[in-house]
Amino acid sequence: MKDEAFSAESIWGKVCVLDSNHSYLISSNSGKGKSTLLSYIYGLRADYSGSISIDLKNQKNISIDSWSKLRTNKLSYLLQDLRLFNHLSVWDNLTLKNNLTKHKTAAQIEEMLDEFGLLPKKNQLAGRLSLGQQQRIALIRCLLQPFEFLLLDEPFSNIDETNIQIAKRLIEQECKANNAGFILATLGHDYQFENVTTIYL
Amino acid sequence: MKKAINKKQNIFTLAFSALGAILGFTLLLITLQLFTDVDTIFNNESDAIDTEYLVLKKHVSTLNTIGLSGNTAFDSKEIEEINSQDFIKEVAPFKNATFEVMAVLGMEGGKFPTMKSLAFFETVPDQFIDAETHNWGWEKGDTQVPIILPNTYLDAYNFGIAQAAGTPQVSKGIIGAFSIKLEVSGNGNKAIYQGNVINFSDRINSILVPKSFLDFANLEYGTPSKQEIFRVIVEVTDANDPSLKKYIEENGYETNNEQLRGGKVEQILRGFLNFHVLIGIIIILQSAFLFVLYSQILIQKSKYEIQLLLIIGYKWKTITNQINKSFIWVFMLIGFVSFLCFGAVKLWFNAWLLEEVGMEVTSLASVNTLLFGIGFLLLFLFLTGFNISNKVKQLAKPNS
Repeated sequence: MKDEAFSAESIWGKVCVLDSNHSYLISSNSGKGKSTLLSYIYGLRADYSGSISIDLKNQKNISIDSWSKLRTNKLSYLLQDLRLFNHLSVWDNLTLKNNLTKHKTAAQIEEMLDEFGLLPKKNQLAGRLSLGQQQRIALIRCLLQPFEFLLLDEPFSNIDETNIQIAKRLIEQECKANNAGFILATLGHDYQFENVTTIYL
Repeated sequence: MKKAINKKQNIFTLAFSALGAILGFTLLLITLQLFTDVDTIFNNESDAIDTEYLVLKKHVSTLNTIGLSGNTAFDSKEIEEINSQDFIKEVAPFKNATFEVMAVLGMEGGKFPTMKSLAFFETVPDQFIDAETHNWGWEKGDTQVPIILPNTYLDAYNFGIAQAAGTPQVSKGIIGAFSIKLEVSGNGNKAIYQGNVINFSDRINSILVPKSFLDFANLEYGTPSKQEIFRVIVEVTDANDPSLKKYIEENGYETNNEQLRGGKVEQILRGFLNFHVLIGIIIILQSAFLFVLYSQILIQKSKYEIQLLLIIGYKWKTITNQINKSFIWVFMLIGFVSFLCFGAVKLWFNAWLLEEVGMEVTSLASVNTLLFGIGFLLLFLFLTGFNISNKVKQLAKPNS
């Protein structure tokens, strides 16, 4: 897929192919449908006309069991509203995902927490953390599975610059390890990612 | 995952639903068991309430007595017609003696009065007799004749004659010690036989002798032209059948009222039990409904958590199983407590029956009751499980 395929015009109503060997920024102002597009790709919504295919299969025909498989092997999604289990501890939130995928060891997860400076919060209830801390926990949870595409919906909206750099490094590192790409929705900030294609909505 | 969903359990609602279920379930079990018990009681051969056999006779009016009305015998056409009815399994005539019998009852050494009375003999096929028929047979040349007397005769003596005459009452066992001299005469012949009471019958209100004896004696002492059938005994499929009652009335037959009354008691009792089963089922269905409602509320309350589990990749089946698991425990508890309550009530009821009514029902629970109980429990589980999996599946589908 060449960069020229995407102009500064909106992609809605056009044909567009996203390749997991590549990473993308979806850029627009609020309310243009960035989150909507991501939830179509992740199978949370199907209220659209036209067609979306995932691995050449029509999104609307994918069974709910297949969605579960996709969500443990091929697609990982950091939602804008984070979606943590507020009544569970940070550690329980992370192991709930990792128990399903067995992707990382406990030591590896602790290392990731440590990088974000969150290891001391390991046993705290997720609901008690600040929004920024919650966002970093949700990001770590996204990385506890193999994936071909990492979907990130405004992942740095509540994080300071230092932590953005740590998060960027972790994301790039995990994408490389999985031989995968990411699709990052942003309000226009490009976060100086290299080798990414920007899609405008 | 258990931790993720289960915090939303509302113990109060759950306890109430469970209590309702236990109540309904216990009531249903008890009623189902009573059905079986009533069957046992009413079908008990030796019991006085014998509804499967009826004795039919024609009404005897004053006109018959003074000879102005037709006779009260059954002809072969009428017997055939009775036999052809759907609710009649089998019919047999009472064959009567056509000779004269004089019975002399007495005991050597005289505490008891000697009684002498005109008597009669009848016979019915063995399968209609509701008493043990040991030594029930007679061959030509035998001087002893086995006899089966109606229970009412013994009662009439014990509670009537014995009281009036100041003589001791007798038991069924001792009656064998009495000698009954039977003076048989007719046709210009005369003979004396020794009567031997071998048993008593509730069903047949007549003095029965073996058919071989009656056939022989009728030939020897009787008048063949007098051989008529005044009573028939029928085995019916169901004494409560309304068409049977209607048939008896329409043809002007009479039957032993006591037996039909027994049928009525049974009918009323069964009506009550049906009503009980209905109430039990209504309560059970209501509590099943409560559980379905409860599971729906649980899912509604845990919607966020369930959706989140689905988002992070958990399969809907895994989530459903987890929720169902907690319900299985609840249902097992309901079943266990209900069976315990049922057992306690049943033990008390069995004791009450034995003490107050004198009926011994030893069984605690019949196979039917257990199967029904387990069946209802499974139905509960199925209904709730089905509902839960449906709801979770709905949440798993992409919004469109």
